[in-house]
Amino acid sequence: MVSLMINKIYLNDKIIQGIKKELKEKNFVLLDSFFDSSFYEKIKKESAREEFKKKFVYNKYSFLEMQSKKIEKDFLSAQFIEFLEEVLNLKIKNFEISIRKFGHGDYTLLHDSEKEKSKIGFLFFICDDWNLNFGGNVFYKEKNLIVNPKENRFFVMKKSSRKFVKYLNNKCGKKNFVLIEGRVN
Amino acid sequence: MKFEKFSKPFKHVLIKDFLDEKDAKKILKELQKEKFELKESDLFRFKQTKDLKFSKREILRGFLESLLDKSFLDLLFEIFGKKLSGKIDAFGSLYENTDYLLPHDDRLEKRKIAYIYYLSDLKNGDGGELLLYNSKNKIPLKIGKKLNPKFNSIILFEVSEKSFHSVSEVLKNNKRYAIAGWFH
Repeated sequence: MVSLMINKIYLNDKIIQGIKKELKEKNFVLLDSFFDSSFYEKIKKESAREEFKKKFVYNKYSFLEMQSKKIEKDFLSAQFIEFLEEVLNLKIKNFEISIRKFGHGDYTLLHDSEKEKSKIGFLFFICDDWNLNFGGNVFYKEKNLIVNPKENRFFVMKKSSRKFVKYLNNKCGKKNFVLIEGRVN
Repeated sequence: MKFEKFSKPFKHVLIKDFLDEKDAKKILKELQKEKFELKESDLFRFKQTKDLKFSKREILRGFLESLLDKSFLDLLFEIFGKKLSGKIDAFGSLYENTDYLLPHDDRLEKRKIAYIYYLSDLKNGDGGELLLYNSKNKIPLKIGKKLNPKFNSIILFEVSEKSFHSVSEVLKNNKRYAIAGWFH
């Protein structure tokens, strides 16, 4: 593997074996400082430049969303797919991502009908100094697991579990974070 | 008893100065002595007491009895046209800065009429408003009405697939006390 975007430390064979082991045992793994810092800054800039549109259904969700070919291309890069295939030990057939921004008043709710379509998903956070009391924490209901927003944080969940993004309260002021979510089949 | 009846966005009734002010103050004082536990889910964050039916404080149990008074149940029947069993749930709730309740319809077996008896005054900009939604095909589409909590007032509404409501986030360091529950 050639390091183009993923932080070199995660491309070390020993570390990769460790990630595989963790995924096998716990079905999830959390990798901080996941991308090389210059690459992280690049997607951060790209996401700041793009225009987000408000999406809401009161009893389901509220957030901003955008489509970005550039960011999609980054995540669909050979290196990233190869990394996922390696740590997950599978061949990826389908891959889709959503790019959402959460600010004060945003949330997603659990819905029975919204059982994850695919078994494997990942989260990637773009943000600055997120305080846990702002909300925005991602709760995996069945797993009883919370993933907090943090800059350059990558999280992979192997088993399907319903999840929600906790309501972002007034303590976050004008701050927000971008959540790139991927679903893999 | 003087009440205001509304049909939009769904059937609800508002009764101001529900009890004698002295009694309302006593109820608040007693309620504040109850133990409030933090309740959190995808839908809400606030503090709640156990069912007040089991409270050791007579004044609070007395309040529930007054809700189940025959004349009041008759009035509810007249307004909502629903036969009630005479059973009631009642919880003290406390919303503080950053607490909220997101839109939902309250539907659960046996719940016929929801009520909220306010024991705090909140004004515009404080948050903690009760929002009632216009809905279509079980989807809330628009905020149809906003109500600021007013001390000693009670709002009642029919629980149905249309009864989408929420409590907006409390934005300041106010304490929003209420007793809320359902008539079965």
